[in-house]
Amino acid sequence: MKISPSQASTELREALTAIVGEANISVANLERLSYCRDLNPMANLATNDGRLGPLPDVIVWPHEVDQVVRLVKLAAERRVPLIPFGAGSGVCGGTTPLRGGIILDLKKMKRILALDEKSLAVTAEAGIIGQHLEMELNRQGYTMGHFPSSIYTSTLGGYLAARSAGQLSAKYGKIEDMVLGLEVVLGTGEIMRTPVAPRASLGPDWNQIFVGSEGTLGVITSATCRIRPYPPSREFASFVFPTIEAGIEGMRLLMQNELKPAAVRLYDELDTALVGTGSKQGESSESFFDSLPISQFGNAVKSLVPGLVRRAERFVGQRADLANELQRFATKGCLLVLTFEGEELLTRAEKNLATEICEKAEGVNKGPEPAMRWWKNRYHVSYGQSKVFYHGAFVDTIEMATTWRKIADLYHEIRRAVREKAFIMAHFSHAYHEGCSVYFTFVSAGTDVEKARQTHRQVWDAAVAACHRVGGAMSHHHGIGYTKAPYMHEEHGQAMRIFEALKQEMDPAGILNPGKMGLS
Amino acid sequence: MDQPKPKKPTNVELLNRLRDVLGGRRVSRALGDRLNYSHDLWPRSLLEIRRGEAPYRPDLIIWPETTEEVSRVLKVCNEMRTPVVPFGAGSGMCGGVLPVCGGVVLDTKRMNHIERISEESQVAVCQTGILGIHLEQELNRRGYTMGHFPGSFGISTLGGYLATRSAGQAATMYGKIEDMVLSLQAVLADGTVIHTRTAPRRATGPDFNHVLLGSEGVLAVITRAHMRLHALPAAREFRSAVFPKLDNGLEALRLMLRFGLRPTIVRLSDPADTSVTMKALGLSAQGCLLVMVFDGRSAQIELESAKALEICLANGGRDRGEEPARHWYNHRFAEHFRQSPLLAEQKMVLDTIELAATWTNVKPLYDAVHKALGRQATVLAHVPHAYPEGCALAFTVLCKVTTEDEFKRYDRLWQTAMDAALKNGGVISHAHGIGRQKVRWLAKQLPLALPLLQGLKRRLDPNNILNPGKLSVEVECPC
Amino acid sequence: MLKKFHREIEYCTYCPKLCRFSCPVGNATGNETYTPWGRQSLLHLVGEGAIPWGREVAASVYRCTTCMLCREYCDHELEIPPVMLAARAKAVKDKMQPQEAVEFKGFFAEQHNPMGDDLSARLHSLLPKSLFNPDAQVVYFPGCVMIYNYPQTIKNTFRLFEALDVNYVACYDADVPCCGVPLHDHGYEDEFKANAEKLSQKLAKAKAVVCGCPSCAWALKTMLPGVGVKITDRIYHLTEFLAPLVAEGKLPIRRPYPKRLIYHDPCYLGRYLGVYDQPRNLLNEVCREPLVEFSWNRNKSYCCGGGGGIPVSNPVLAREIAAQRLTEANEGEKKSVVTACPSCMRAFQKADESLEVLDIVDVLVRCI
Ligand SMILES: Cc1cc2nc3c(=O)[nH]c(=O)nc-3n(C[C@H](O)[C@H](O)[C@H](O)COP(=O)(O)OP(=O)(O)OC[C@H]3O[C@@H](n4cnc5c(N)ncnc54)[C@H](O)[C@@H]3O)c2cc1C
Ligand SMILES: Cc1cc2nc3c(=O)[nH]c(=O)nc-3n(C[C@H](O)[C@H](O)[C@H](O)COP(=O)(O)OP(=O)(O)OC[C@H]3O[C@@H](n4cnc5c(N)ncnc54)[C@H](O)[C@@H]3O)c2cc1C
Ligand code: SF4
Ligand code: SF4
Repeated sequence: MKISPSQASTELREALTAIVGEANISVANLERLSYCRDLNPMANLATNDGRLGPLPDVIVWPHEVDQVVRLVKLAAERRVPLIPFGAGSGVCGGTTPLRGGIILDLKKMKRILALDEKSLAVTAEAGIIGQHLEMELNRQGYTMGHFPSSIYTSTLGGYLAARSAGQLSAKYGKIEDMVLGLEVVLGTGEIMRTPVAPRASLGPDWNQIFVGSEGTLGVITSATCRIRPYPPSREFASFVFPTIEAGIEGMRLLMQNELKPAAVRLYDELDTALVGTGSKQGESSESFFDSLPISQFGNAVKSLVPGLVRRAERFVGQRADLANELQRFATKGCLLVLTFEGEELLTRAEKNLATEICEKAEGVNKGPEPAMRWWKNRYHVSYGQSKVFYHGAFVDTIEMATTWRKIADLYHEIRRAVREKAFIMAHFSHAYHEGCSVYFTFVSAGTDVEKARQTHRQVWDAAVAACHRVGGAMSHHHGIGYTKAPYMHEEHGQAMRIFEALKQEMDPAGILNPGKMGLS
Repeated sequence: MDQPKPKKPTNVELLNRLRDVLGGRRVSRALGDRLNYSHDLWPRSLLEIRRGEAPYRPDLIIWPETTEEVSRVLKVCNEMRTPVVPFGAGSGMCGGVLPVCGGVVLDTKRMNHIERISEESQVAVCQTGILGIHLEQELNRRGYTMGHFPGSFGISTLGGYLATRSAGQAATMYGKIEDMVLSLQAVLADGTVIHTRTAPRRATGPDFNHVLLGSEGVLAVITRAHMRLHALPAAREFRSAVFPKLDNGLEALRLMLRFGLRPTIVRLSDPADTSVTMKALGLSAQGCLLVMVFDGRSAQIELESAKALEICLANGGRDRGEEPARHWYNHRFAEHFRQSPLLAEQKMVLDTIELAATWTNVKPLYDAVHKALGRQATVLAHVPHAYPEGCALAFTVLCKVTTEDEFKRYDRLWQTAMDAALKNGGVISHAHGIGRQKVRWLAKQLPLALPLLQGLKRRLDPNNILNPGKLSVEVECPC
Repeated sequence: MLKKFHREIEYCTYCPKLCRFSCPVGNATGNETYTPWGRQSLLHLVGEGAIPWGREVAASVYRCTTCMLCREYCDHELEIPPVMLAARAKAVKDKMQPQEAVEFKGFFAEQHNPMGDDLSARLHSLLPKSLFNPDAQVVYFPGCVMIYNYPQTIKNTFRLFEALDVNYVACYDADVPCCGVPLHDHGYEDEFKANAEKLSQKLAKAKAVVCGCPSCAWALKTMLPGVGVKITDRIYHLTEFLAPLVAEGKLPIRRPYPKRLIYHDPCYLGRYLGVYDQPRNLLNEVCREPLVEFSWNRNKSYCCGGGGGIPVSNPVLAREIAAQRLTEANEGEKKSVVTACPSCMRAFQKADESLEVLDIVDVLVRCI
């Protein structure tokens, strides 16, 4: 593989070194390769193929906000792209250095600056890994309540920048609900520090303008977030609904009865078959892990249709339509898992009410077991990816959201739009008062990487078109990056003028993460 | 304060073009209208009115009825470089609608239709000129509530709530206005109609709603909103307690919310507020009165209210039963009637200064502001809203003034309070917004906010026609 | 200026517009000026000498339906209509009144009523001679709007009397047909007083007067004495007169009224005269379906837009107010509106021609 040399001039390198010091800058090819991709599936596929790029020219690791200011100013002066980088766990190419330039890795800014136990607030630098922050909070008796599946490999700054949502969002909120104050270095090098208060009316809420800006408006250097006491109790409950519609109705009723479960997840028929609704099957976490959708797709097929085992993974990719047919065998109903956490007095009452509501809505009570199994294995699903890619297929996820009125439509429309090209299954999570998100996993393959790439694009084109037809958000929590950038104008219409204006104002030199999010 | 700009004669061409869009009945240049649209409920303006002064007067008032009409009139005004002040019900407390450059006041109140209610998603689609109380009445009739109950519930519009980032009494349960809105439709200065799209949540860039929320009419005219609804609660519980000192009450509130309780309303008075405000409402108590309202299913709220009371008792509170809370709830809007006699008969100034801080900062903030203001006025304070992280603090200030010193004393009160707030970790406004009044202090609290907003405005409203002089230090008239 | 109302004017000026959401004129126009706060603030500024007392300010005081709804939401219990009416009277004295008012006065003068027709003749052609008795002690006073627009209701009223065995009520001989409220509404106090004096002569022998129209009843009961004109103090609205008789079971009810009705409290019957239960009791006696209530009902009843001279000075506005009132009636399955005031009926019909609007009397008659 040929690697094009770094474009960073000696002078630029020296100037950067003067800011961060020798130890915190690299132009080594090894590093340039590591920082050229995040976890978007096309990058993975390219890795398989040995074709990587574009590469950054230089990587820097600042330690202090002042250094960030100087770096940004330097980049602006020289008109060199600067890409804020958390842990590179994004799945839509948010950190891809499309036009080369400087990767600004924030992971050395990882201190917890303050823990205000009385006000339930933690202030930390943006580069801290989610799990590190959470562990430290746990140690002190608190939780942030933010549990994306990627918690081991993503940063606080990344959560904020990419508008992340964790598995327990129904109780603790999404990242935008947690942020109390931010420190951000704008593209001009100016520092914006928003005052920390439970709430304010000081004109537009700047915190909310940076949340979701994916590195295009400023570099988030630290944040103050809401925390909660570590929950003294947890409750689990599971129900099986006869149809996906019945399950959705159950979720709707839970949310509209003002319940605040921690996790709410509904699996569609196939997902359910794979996860398993019985409490006997898969007693140990090991075998549960093995029965999870992506990782063990082959095993699932084995248990359902003997004889298709060996070629299962490839089969899935290349004969997608047939694979979808399998679902009919898989129909066992739809599993809803619920967890509740907090003070026992409240969680018990909530669980009882939830049970009453679900049972009234045709849900068959399956006891706590399935939900507990989900809980134990909640991060494991992601490990399955490797296997798929290893076999030359690819897997990607589409997470969309809409109101209850349209959610079943969205689910069916997306499946219809995609099923010819990929094997697709879904679960519903992140429930809200007025709707929920639906999370599709699709697996497909191509005879070569280029074909796979085409298929991937076609799936997305079809899915987003269907989403806009029904009326919904094309991303619930993964963000835009560059892979979804082409759809931004369709998604927002004239409202993009607001984003453009913000961009021009905050990053007049256009150096911050250029080429992303449909910004010109 | 600001000097009135020399007034220009009404532009006949403008008048005719607006009449072309709206017809004669929905364009006014009557003197009476120009006076009644010359101010909001900023107490400083009331002092002016008391003297028979109204320094800023719009030239015209218009009443569009649809987004399309708003778009067309903005196009006209943009072409003619005429200032346009979006106007809800003029209940703002900080001069947000002062027509400092004259021009056109765009009253939204004829845009008052509830276009659709989706029972399944529990979402109402509504024009923004509807009064809060009318919207709520209609929702109640159908079994829903929006849960937004500012003290100004009967005198303010949905658009006003959105534009000022309003918060209602039930914010602890139902959230503040930003938690209720799903999407907005708005018209930019050049007439472009923009929509943010409805979804329960999205990760497709920054939440553009938040650029419009709190924009106080300077970026766009908000014309329609999708708002989240809730089923009317099945039951309601009232609880009250008195605390010997404010600290005890604050601590009880903090622990309740930390525990995870979700009262609909909590309102904690300081000793002066207890003995004056609460007494005026017919409640006799000493110390710091806490009233609490719980809404929901009866089993749930019995549990929660009992726990809340337990926490109160554990923190030095005494149980006062249901009655004070129930009485307060039934009479809670009555306190605003006090204003008239005080201003009309007693030559008083009266204002509310509302701040917010984290629990760590709130007591020092209270002490500092109270002490500083106490030298100049009678001060009654209460906590109108509480959150797990902190609470809001509302200081009612009143003092007798003379015709000579009334503005000086009024301005000094604010300067004192704002200085103390900035020094002691408070935010200078919890829910009322900035308007014309608090610009100077916003510049201190969030120095980049004003230049950024002005920059944003230059790009979205290059002729600066939308509400000039608001959220901005300079008064640059477009004409 | 308007010293007598100093408290009202000043209180409203400094009030945070607290009753504004109830004012039908404010709600229909969306205009800040046409709220109690807005009009009163202008009167304050006039008082301060900040603005001249001119036609523009005068026009604003004509935009009040005198419905009194705002009082119900004012903790000071301020009454705005008397201030508005006093200001109108001043406008007339100072020749500042709107042109519509001037024209109205001329029109009224022609036939001594607001209809521009000989109402006495109409009434005589409607009812048999036997029902007119100048010496009767109990007199039924139908009112101009009733005579002109709802002659059938007048006939029905006498059919009811007959069915109830009430033979002592005579019909008022309408040669001074009007109670004078329309004159007063437009600011013509002197003319109102002159009319009142004539009226009192006509009613000199009456020991009791039963009115078909609530504002007539209010005028006879309080406004005439208010300008020093003597008249019997036993003044009733028809529903007050009928309710006890029907409650005693005197009405021979043959068939219950079959359709769903929604009851509108007329402002003058409700907030002015305090009559809320009698109309409901009457209807509940005869209706098969439970009576539907507006969500704004009883003392919080919303205005029909027909009062305060608004239909004359601003017919479009009157229709807008009526239309707002009717939204609930027209929601879902369209309901017939029943009320007890001919002005309300007129206002509703002008706003919605397809709507069935009934007087209680019409409903009762259909059941005997
Ligand atoms: C297996 C797996 C599971 C996942 N599960 C979830 C999930 O449950 N919920 C969820 O929300 N997401 C999930 N994600 C997506 C991803 O983890 C999130 O988007 C996460 O927020 C990215 O954080 P990061 O630190 O890795 O950011 P990166 O990938 O490094 O960056 C993401 C974007 O944010 C910008 N950025 C990063 N840090 C900063 C900063 N400090 N200032 C300004 N901009 C910055 C970058 O420029 C880039 O545009 C998952 C991803 C994977 C691979
Ligand atoms: C007695 C009293 C009690 C109050 N209590 C509370 C309270 O509890 N909580 C609270 O939050 N506030 C309270 N307020 C303040 C005030 O009522 C709120 O700020 C309210 O949101 C203003 O609404 P409005 O319709 O009257 O807006 P206005 O005063 O007319 O306008 C306020 C601002 O919003 C802009 N604006 C209005 N409509 C639009 C639109 N459609 N598009 C764009 N811009 C627009 C205006 O230009 C102006 O800058 C109180 C006020 C009073 C007088
Ligand atoms: S009538 Fe009463 S409530 Fe209405 S504006 Fe006047 S003082 Fe306020
Ligand atoms: S009486 Fe009726 S119309 Fe007149 S101000 Fe009061 S509410 Fe408005």
